[in-house]
Amino acid sequence: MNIICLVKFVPDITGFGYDYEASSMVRNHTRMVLNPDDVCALSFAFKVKERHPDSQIQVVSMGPTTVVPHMHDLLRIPVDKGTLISDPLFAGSDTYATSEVLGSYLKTQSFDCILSGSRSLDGATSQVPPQIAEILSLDHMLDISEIDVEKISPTEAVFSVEGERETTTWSMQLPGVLSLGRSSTCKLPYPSYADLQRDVSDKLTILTNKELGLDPSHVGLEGSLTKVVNTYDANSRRRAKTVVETNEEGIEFVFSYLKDRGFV
Amino acid sequence: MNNEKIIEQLKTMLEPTQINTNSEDLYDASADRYKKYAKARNVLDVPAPLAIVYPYTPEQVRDLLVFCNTNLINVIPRAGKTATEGGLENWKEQTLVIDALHLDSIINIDTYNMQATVQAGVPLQVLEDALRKEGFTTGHSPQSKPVAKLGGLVATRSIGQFSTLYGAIEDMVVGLECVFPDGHISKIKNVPRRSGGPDIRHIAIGNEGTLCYITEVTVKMFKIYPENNKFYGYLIKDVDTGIKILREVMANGFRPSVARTYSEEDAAQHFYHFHKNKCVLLFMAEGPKGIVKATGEAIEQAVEKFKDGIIEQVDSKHIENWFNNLNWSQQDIDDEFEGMKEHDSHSGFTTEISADWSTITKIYYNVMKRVKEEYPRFHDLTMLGGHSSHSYINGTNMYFVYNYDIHCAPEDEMRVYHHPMQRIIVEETLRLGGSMCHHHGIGKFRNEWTKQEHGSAYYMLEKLKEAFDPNGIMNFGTIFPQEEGKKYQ
Amino acid sequence: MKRILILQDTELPKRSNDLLEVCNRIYGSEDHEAWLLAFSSDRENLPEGFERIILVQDEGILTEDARYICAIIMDLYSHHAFDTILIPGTWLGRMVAPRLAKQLHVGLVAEINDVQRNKDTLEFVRTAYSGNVLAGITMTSNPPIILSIKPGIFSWEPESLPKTIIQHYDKKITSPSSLTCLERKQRPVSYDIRDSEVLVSGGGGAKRAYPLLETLAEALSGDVSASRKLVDQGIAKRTIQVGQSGKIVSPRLYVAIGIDGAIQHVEGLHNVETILSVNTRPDAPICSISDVVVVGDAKIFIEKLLQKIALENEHTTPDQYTSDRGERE
Repeated sequence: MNIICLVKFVPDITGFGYDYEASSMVRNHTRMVLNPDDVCALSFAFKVKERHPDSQIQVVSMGPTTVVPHMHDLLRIPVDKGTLISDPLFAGSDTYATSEVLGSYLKTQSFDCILSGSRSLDGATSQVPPQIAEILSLDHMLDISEIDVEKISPTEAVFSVEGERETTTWSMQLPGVLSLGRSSTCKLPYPSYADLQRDVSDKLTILTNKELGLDPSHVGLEGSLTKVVNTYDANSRRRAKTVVETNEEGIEFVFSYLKDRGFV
Repeated sequence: MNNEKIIEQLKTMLEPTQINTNSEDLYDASADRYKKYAKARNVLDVPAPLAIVYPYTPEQVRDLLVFCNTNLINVIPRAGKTATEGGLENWKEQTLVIDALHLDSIINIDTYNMQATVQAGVPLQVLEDALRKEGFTTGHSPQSKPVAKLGGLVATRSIGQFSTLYGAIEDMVVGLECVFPDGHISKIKNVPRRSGGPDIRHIAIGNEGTLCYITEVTVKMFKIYPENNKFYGYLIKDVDTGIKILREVMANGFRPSVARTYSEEDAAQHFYHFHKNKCVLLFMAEGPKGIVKATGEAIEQAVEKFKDGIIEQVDSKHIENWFNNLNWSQQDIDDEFEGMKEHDSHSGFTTEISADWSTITKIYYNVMKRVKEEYPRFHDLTMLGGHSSHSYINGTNMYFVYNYDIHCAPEDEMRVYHHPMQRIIVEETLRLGGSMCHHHGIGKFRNEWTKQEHGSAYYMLEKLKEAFDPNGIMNFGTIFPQEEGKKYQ
Repeated sequence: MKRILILQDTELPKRSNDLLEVCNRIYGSEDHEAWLLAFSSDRENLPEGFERIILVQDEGILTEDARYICAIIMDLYSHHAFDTILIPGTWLGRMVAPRLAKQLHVGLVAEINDVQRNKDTLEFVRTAYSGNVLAGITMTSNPPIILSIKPGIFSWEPESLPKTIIQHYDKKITSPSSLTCLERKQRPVSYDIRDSEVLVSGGGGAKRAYPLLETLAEALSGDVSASRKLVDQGIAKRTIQVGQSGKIVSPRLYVAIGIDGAIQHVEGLHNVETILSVNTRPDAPICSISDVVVVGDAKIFIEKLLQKIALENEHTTPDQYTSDRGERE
């Protein structure tokens, strides 16, 4: 199998602080981590490789060069090939522009299957994988809970999706794009102690727009079709906690609070 | 002597119930909390001891030591099992762990002369509870209090959370009894003070099981006035401010029982409900009313003097609550173990050092800078910070605390993550003239720097080892560096 | 007249009209009409409030096929040039909306939970950084506006009901997709708290109320979890323990009942959208990180809240839709 894993390194928001005085997030200690859903995608790729040792895994990521140490870590597990698409020109790309950039690279690659996570921790939406599938005219499935490692072949994949009420099992022709949902049981293999020191930079290709040759007006902020114009801190409500009692008023408040948010 | 023979011989000296060869217990006894992650993951690389033995009397301890000394069997003295620096880790194929389990009687609580005598295996909590009933305290309160035992606490020069008032264990021990490898039993009598030559208590206190086996200790006791306790907490601009205020209070001659400064990062994990991403300074004053009042005023004056560095005062209730929930229990330790199995991360690794007032913050900032610049797994660090928690007239300690996600094989964790960090901290501390080991002992993983720690005084330490343990059977690898043990480091 | 196409929420078909509220928020008093794209297998559950319902004959068709649905919407768009297309942010919707945006070469703001009108600009708000930040986003592309809507956020209150025209869509559209459903199985009842959207969690102070947690969890479509204290006392199973030594959970709603909130417990809460805590002590640490704090007895709180929920359900359950279905057809 020839597998491409699309991964993203995201800020580890658990390390975020909140500055109550400045009313803003403190991000200077921010550390990047591999997006948890993507861990599941990569972990499945390794399962396939374990079964079919001749399989090739390429990890493709788009982001700043500060994630290079993380890409190196993946290459030490070892992933066979790493591609980091990184150019200041691409900074600020929305999902539309991002999928254009990734799509233009993926069009040049041959693969049986593209694996990705379903959601990314920072954006929490899941637009890029289906958009890439659209660009490549491929089938796609989101929120996959399990791919059958015994049944996957270069032409077909069988997998299941756990919905609210039912679990469904599907088959799909490959090449295609499969997006896995987060499961806490996914783990990546460990690099050996010797590998931890190894120079793997030769396995990592860093691509800029010089290589990809996209029209600069189609990427980055300029190429984006949506624009973030405001940010509001969702945490600021934490200061203004509402305190109620178990009297009628309190219960009424809790009920409508839950109702407003769709919990009842 | 082969292993079967050793066990056979033990059976002639002890009852069967005193000899434990259960493989799970032996696996557990082969390392302490230093390699807790590898232990949790079942990948320890050190040999297991042959047996754990539980003597009932100092005489049985004597017989066991003589037997081991004659047959060159390594001995690891153990009481409480909360060591964190490898002091209880085994590096020898033939090792006997002598556990103070049955040396568990409280011999005497003398409320008039304010001293209590206990055997080495008495848990500190048990003694403390007994004293509390009478309105007294040992004044010793390490986080490990519910689990740690007196023998272990004395052998490792432990310190408690109220040390700034009551002192560390060496200030509390009045006298003790210990057994040497050649079978000699020494009893140091309990007197208020004497000038009878060098203070030989200090040969046993902090020996980490490398010179003798402590069987009994007598410690001071103090009257307790919980109703007078007062708590103070502040959010402060930086670590410097905190250290300056700690110094001010100490240098002016006051002894709060707790005096601490936390870096932003460390504060965030201890005081998540009020830290606001700032450094935290806190105090606790205890004792007779007049002393608490005077100490409280001194704290307020010191804070006032450095008010430019103070952001705001914290509700003292927060400090009190936090303090009441500080100690670990056996359940906490077990839970941590389970937690490490499930998540690939290691929380709360520490290296503790000390230095004088003018040096301590230099070390702190140097370490932070070097870690950022050269620590190879910086991108896996989830937390790096520190706190000062034990102050003296001439300086204070710094407790470096770090957490990280583990992206390597469990057995490689220490050399990939902890050792490079520890190296930076120890190197910077020694370079600037501080001590690399404030209160956890040297154990087995800082022994490469023991000579540097002591400098020309290492001569004295070395001679003690030669004199008391000429065959080198006592806790091989602890304190004193050993070529043969390097493979486990 | 602005025209909006809304894709039916196939998971909760009747709730599809909640998206009408989004139309109101976007267009306000401006004249607009909303169309619904629905499937014939759901004809029993058609919601009210739409000017037109396009009913797709879906016999033998896979309604979970995003490419097929996109093809239908593209076909409808080519005839009706909608100004806005709203897609529910369900599993299916999250596959449809991005593809559609790509096909129409427009931007997409996904899983929005608010709409802000500032003068002439429309700002769509969604959570970022797993709920820690809200981002206000504008479209820079030409119409149509495509949005996917976070489920359960908006709710629509009818003012006046338009007469609904049902239009059958019989056009044969072939899907390019190779997707085949091999099996459908009811989901097993056992749950993993790490995957729960709603957790009702009990601590030391919920000992007496523990049996009630299950009932409350049911009412909130959630699961029960516990703090270490309850696990240690043998009241709860270790598999549902939240915290450093238990599991790390990320529900949308965490109801902390009788939980003090020691750091070891709080470390198990990652990216929780809403925390509601019930505690006798208003100064318990958990309260300072809660959105709502109920000070009082856990058992009393649960019983009263359950009563309230039951009462409200009584008022809303009578089926308003089946009774007037004849009129609309």
